[in-house]
Amino acid sequence: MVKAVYPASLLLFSALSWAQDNNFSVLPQACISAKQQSCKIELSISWHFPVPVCLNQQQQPGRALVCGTDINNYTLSVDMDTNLVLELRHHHHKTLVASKTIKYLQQAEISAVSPRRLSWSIF
Amino acid sequence: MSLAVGFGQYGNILHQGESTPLYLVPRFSYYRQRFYLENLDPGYNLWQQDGFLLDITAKQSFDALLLRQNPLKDSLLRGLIHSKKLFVVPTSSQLDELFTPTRRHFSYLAGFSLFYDKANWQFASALQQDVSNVHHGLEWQHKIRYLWQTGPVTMAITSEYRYLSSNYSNYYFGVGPDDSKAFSSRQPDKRFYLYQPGSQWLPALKLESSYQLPNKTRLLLNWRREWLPTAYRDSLYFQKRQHDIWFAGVLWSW
Repeated sequence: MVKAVYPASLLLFSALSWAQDNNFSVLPQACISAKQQSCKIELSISWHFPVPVCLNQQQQPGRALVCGTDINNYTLSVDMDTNLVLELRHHHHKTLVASKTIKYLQQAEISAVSPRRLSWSIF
Repeated sequence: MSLAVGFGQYGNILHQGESTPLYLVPRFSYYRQRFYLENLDPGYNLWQQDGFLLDITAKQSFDALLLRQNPLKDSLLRGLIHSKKLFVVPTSSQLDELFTPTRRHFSYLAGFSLFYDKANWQFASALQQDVSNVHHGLEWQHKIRYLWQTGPVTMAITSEYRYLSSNYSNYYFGVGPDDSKAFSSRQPDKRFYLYQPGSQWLPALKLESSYQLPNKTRLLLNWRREWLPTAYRDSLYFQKRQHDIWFAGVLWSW
């Protein structure tokens, strides 16, 4: 019986994955830092899935932040200095259901000209 | 803003000269709209189209450094001893009293620079005149650079060729009227030794490599060699005609 249920749930997951982008939302989708500093941001996260899934950061795969089937506007504060990948994984067998990448952007210096020298050229 | 920490040498081409060690090399760059500043060298873009850029530029000339690493009189006397030239020395005078080498000052140049960027290549030509009232000469420098990058490794090879006008060349690389005493009181205008090499071309080659590390740091290995023309041999100051600068270390940027 157990052997039959496990493949069935995987099949269900495969079928659900087509709708992952619509069911999983993270806002905002980018964080813009001034110059070369890290970027602090509060993310609002929602998802709706028929089976329980857990949210985690790709950089910390074993650490679930919150689990559930219907999550509305879960707030996550992060301090980014690189792109942040958020994943939803199946509660039990940890299969990846959906993921979103929050982009880390740096405010560019306002310059109309390209650098004349290599940034690392010292003489 | 960047700071390179490591070890390198600023070569010494004078007689009895010893290279100057380099442990810290600061680097500053600022770009805002059409204005930019690279260390002590500001620029302002006047025109750009299809990879061509025309800027009004200024720069610090470091040629004075070549003659500031040793007491100039010692280098000149040593050069005199090693020279195959025939010198007539008045019997009543000490040799070292006849020479009074004057300190070469740093100069500041300003003019126009033309850049052309195409893929991995950059061509630059700068025509700049002394605006610091030091030697009233001009420099016309050409550079062509090829940049190669794969993963974290970046390498650049730059070929340089600069023209120095007579005033520029004579001031830094000649023996001027103030560098030696008058031959005799009856001939106050005739110097014991005078040498004016005139305008010259100086080629140079620069090899730069870097390896990108995390946290805005890079490993650096840079080397530059400039060749002095044979005409500068008669200036007596110089033992070598190849001036090297090299540095290896870590560059930290913020």
